[in-house]
Amino acid sequence: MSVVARAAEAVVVARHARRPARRPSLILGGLCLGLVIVSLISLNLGPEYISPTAILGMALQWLPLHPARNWSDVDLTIISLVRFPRLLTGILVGAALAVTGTAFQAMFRNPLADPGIIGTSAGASMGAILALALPVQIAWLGFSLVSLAAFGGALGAMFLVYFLARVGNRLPSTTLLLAGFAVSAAMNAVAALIEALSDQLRQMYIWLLGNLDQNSTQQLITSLPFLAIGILGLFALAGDLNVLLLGDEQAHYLGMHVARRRLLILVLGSLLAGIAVALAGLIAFVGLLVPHIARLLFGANHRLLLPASALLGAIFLVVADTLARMMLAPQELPVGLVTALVGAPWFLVLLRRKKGEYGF
Amino acid sequence: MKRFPSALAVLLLLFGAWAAPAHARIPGSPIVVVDDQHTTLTLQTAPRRIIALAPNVAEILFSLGLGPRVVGVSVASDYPAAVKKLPVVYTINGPVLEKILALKPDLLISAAIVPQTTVTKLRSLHLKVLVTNPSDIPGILHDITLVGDAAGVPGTAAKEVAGLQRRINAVTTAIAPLKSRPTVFYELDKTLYTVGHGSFMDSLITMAGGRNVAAGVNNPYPQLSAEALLADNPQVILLGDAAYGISVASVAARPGWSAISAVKNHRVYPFNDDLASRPGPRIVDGLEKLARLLHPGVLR
Amino acid sequence: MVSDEPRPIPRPRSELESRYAKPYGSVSCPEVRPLLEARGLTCGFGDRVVLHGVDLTLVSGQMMALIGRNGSGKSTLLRCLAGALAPLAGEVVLEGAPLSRVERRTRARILAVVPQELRVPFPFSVREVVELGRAPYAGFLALPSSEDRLAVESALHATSLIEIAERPFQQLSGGEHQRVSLAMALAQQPRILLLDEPTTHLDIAHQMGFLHLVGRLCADQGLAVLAAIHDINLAALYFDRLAVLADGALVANGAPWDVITEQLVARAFGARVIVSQHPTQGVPQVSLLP
Repeated sequence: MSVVARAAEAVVVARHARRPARRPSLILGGLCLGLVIVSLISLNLGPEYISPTAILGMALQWLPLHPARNWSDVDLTIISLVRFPRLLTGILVGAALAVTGTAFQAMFRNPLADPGIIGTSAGASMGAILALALPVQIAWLGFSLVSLAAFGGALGAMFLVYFLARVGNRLPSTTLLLAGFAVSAAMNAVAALIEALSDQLRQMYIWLLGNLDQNSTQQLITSLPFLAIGILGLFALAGDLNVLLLGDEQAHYLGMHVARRRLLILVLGSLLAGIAVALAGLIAFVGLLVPHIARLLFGANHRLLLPASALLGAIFLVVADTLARMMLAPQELPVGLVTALVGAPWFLVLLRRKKGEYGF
Repeated sequence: MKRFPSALAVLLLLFGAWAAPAHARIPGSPIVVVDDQHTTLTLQTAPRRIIALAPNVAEILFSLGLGPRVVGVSVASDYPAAVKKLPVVYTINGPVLEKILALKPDLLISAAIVPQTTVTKLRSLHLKVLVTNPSDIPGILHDITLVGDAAGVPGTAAKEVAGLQRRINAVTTAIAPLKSRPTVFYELDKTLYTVGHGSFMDSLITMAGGRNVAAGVNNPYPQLSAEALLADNPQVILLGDAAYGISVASVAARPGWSAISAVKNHRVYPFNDDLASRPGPRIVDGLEKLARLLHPGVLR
Repeated sequence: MVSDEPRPIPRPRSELESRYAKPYGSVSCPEVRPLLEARGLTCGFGDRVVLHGVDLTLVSGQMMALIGRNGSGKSTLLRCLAGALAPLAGEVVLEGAPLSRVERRTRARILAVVPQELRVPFPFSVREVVELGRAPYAGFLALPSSEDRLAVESALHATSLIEIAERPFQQLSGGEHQRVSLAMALAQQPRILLLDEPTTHLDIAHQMGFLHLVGRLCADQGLAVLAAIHDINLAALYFDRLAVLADGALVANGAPWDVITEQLVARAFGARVIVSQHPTQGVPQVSLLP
């Protein structure tokens, strides 16, 4: 068959190529819309009633043509200083955790991987509990000692795990997992020791279950560029994550520098996990469950999965937080409790319906 | 020459402010207080809407006659009876921020059990928070004065504190000549948590003429082992967990406890823990009650 | 290293040979530039040497089979040739350049590996797996280009997977899995194809079908193919040249009739066999002597 004939055949073939079953733009657009709806609902719910029109008015007041003011100062304070920062924290932390969980599950080829698997959660716990046990109050850039210590602990754990797991110039996933496990165990033990010797147990317990209302908008804006680097960086690595699923050797045959890519994913993921923990404490299950739910709904191709996970994670956490606030009003449940209560049954239902596709 | 009268007026005002009695306050001037965290608080006018973030704060406010000014309390507040009708804005899981904001408080007063992160968060919402954290009985009296100053009623606070001090002195002078100091075990819960050095109750026991079996322990709330307790053989047992279903009879029925001196001599008494643990005016009630239990008949 | 045993009586070229052996596929033809060469290659792990002094050449349009008993170093040699294992001595030369100096992505655009078993732990469709083969061509943001789509389409067509392109990979049979692996390798648009025991998990029909497919692609696209094969008879049927590994070295390298002798099989496999001619294909076949 001559080259020309072969090329002609290829063109004909391409024209008749079947379109993929799912259209990414529709899915992502739908998720964005879902996030907006959930956010609006969340802003409207709280112990104090504020009318939806008032909230809309507050949002639009920067526009030249805005509706007349029909809200009080207290309403404005509640929305801008209580509900909005909480909503923004939920969106950013939910997205960060979900994207990191997705990336780590691919990098380790392990469905049980979550952002804390390389020790970041344990490191953050140790840092935060140490800070809570000390009677010292310092703040930097608006971040409390607890937040800074949590972030520092997370990054410290990452470095420790990296240096423990490195074999020459390779970074095998098994040693990474084992090192992460070992470092987590050690740091959790230290944290438990501090807890046993301290009388700040209630505070530590509350921090360990996660809460979204400890940040100001200022702090969130400061974190935004770093979160953007982490999330967009991982989005750009979507193709590589797909390839890593085949295993180190096959990834090498496909031209990838596996150790370097792994390190990059590790750094970006730890950055996101560290910031998430500094902003909201330990929120379990988001990084573990949301990637699975997204995969069951949208497929395993990371080109679509990563952005979909981010949006789904944001929606999930905002919904969980809204439920945490409203389920037993006026009492508030810790959001980490609700993520587990909501996420696990939902995941079980989905898994039952689609388990044929999931061959582990 | 025109400037002289106004300068004189300023000088007189300054002189007046300096020479005025420590607790008088010129109405209209801002209130400046320094709380137990060494944070300075400035209030432009006397606060009329106050939120008590802990039960002891509510008790202090009511004892100073400020009950009508309290607009929000915490979930554990139960004394005096009037607090139970007030809205709860601080639950087990923390403050309900929206409710607090909606009440438009002029001042929030917190205590040791409120975490620092909560105080920081409240301050970030532009709320004024006064932190009380007394470490001993004189500290409690100081905080009552502090609250009175902050609320703009320094005179009332001074009178209240003077009265409490008189009662304390009455107990200590009555106890001083006594030779016997019975050993006391204060039970916080049935797993034998008790009060050690650094807790209020430990000081009260000493002031009321007793000897706390756990006085040497540096932890304010240590847990004793059953053997240690049997070895200590206290002469008096106080049940701080009486409100949680622990009765004198149930204690006497515990295996091995019938050998303890307090059980043999029927000197096991229920005790209202609120009187021992809440740093407020009722701590003196607790002191008097304790003195009566340890040395019956000594106090009038 | 051609065996020293007496050569068998030459026989007419079979239909298979006529179809597959191209004139330019012969090593002796001087105009042909070897695509992949092993020169004095010694490979192993740390202090354990598996193979030493291996000289091998792959040229375009030629199907070479690597045979030897288990543990003779077939997989190790393949990994060394593919660059996954650094040689202990000697070198691998890719289109004239030392493999260690060739950039990874460039190497992946010339040389593709079909593994023994492709494990895909997440629910990918067939098409999505094949698209992974375009990784060496992906730009920074890695958005698929029209060349990518074309390459994937032609790979799917060449391996007859276009009908089931949207099905989940996990739901396929073993034979289909192997074809998907092959399609993924073809999507890399390689000039060299290395296959690591691709027929081990397949039944007879699928084994033949797969090797027939590879042979056809080799001829159509002028690929240089090296496959580790555990079945001597299959190797003789579908491959132009056989390279035999035994005792840590390459002990034979040539056309099937030159290589498959009873003495060689006894030495390399420790098995007693009788070599005879295939009834219709004209290639040597071994019959086992229990």
